[in-house]
Amino acid sequence: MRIGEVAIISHKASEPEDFIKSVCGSIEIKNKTVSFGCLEIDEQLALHLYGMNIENQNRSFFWDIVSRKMLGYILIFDWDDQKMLDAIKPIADNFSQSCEAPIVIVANIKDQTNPPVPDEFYKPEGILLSTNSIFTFGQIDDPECARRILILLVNMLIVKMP
Amino acid sequence: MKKIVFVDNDTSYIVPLKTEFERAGFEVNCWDDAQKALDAISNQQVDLLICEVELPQMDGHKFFKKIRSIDAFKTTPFIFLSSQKRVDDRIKSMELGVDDYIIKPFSIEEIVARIKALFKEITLQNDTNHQPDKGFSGNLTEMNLVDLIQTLELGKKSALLKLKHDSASGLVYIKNGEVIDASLESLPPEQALMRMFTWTIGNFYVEMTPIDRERNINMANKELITVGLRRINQWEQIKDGLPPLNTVVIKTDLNNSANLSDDEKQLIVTMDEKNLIYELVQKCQCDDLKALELIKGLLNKGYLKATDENFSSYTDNYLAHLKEVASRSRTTSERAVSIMSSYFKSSSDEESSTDISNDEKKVLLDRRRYSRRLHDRLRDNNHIHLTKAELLLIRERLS
Amino acid sequence: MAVESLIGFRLSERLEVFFQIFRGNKVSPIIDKLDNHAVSALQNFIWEKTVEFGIICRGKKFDRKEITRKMTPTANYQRQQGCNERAYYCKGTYCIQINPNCARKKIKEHVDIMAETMQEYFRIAKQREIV
Repeated sequence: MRIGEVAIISHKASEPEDFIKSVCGSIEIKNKTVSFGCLEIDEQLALHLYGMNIENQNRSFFWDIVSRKMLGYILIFDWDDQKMLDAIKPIADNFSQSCEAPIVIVANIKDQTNPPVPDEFYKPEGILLSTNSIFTFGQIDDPECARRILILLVNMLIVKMP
Repeated sequence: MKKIVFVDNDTSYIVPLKTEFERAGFEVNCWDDAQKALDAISNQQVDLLICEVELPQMDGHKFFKKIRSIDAFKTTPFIFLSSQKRVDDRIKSMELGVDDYIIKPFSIEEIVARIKALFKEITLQNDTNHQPDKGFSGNLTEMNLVDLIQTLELGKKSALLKLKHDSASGLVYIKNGEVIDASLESLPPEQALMRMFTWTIGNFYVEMTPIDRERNINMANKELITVGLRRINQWEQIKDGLPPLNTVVIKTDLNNSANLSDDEKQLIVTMDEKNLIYELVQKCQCDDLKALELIKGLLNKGYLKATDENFSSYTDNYLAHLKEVASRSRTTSERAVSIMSSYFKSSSDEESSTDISNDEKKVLLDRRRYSRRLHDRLRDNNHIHLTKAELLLIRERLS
Repeated sequence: MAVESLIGFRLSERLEVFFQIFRGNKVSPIIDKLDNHAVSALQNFIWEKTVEFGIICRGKKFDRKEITRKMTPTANYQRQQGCNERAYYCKGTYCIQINPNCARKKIKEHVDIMAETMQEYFRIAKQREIV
């Protein structure tokens, strides 16, 4: 079985869990630090999603080891919560400076009917922040939206391939 | 006994670190002032220097420069500690040429593990007698044979790969990015390569050198890599339900061989009184994966028994866990989540109870150390582990 | 493909820029926290995004002059500052090294104008949606 791994990271545990549930349907395994979901593509290929939160981590996390394994990262923060944005900023910098894997940064908006920015500016391709990172708005508990976010990540990987 | 000199004016670190280092078997001298440390150690034999960057009067950077100007300390390993989190400050320090940079706050277990790993790396470099400028070395847990072949293939390089796993050593010859030959004991080249694919623990040294050798492996790299990846996967799956491969197994008194296949009977007959599992794999005349399956079957049926020898690093918990999973393998998902969780260093004792084995923990800690040269060369090369077709399939599925 | 430069305009800073723009705030306060290299990079970054959003919003009708006509022309700015250097010093990234305070002041004005322009594009697009 060939496996692609994606890390979904947020300040709180609930965001990655919601995202994984939206994509995979359910969370397969969960403990205090990591939640895990699996999306089977076919009998030979699967996508593993690891949800991690950084809220209660009182020691360093081996991001440099994790970064060697992952296809890419999805960093989530609540649009209304500056604290969450501030928490993921160092991780965004860490990943962007130490590895090539693409990063999608998602501002989770609770009220999809009134996004801060009209759809046409971010929906199809996200907003390119750098060669390896994209910003987008989304509602992570909406399966369609969560899959769109994953597609953004996969597209960035495809573009890199010859 | 290795001697460590530790310079920091923050006593909240000095005392616990000194205690832990001494418990780990190091001799430790602590100083709260860089100049005093310099005066005291200039005529001494020191194996490692650890220094806080922000010190009053003489800061860490000045101390480092002065230390390096002394002949005896030109190559002594040096680690900086600091609470400076900005990348620019870290770069400035690393550019001076230190061996590591650890940010406060850190866990004491981590720093002890890093130091042990650093000493191991130095020993390895001294043991292998290689000329550093001609190649690079590292740990197979960081980068296995498949990764190495892919890396060299990308650059169409020629190199001789030397792999070491337990007591076994193998060679792989790569010419212009293509694997052309392999040697391990007296195995045929392809079989030797297949065995080395499953070596996920051990060391490697890559010597960049022209290869002038006949081609004895005719499979193309792509095919080799596909086969290699599959083998690693299968190997890990079979290994999952077994004790560590350096466990001694013995025959039991069970006589009824009617339940056994011909291959299983053959394996039991060729065994010595006591054998390590990996020795049995090597002795068996069939393919390694099949051999491992046979051994697993014999253990499960009770014809072989694992002994406590070489179990010294295992806790009672793991033994109990082994019994529990004797009849089934742990799922890949559980194992993956356990490993990922272990990257979070928890302060609670409850959480540190073994979700994963001590061997796996050791492997994970070992991963923190990597050859500086390898790290520098390969830092920017995140592998995309999937092919383009697979990514397109994933996109299709998500749409 | 190279990883991001370890100095200069970080990913977190780009994120902060968007955070402020999308909330209708000014971007110029961010400049005070950046080094000279990053300030130049920020100006280029916001310019590219403004043009990009302009094209998305206005399509073929987009013209860069929509953005630049709100900015103080270089010659006027130099005159206001009493600067006798050549004109090309004040364009691009030259003067950020020579006279960073002056260059930063100009860049602050420009980035605020660009941010306002982007916010205007959002308003236009939203109204289109409602209609």
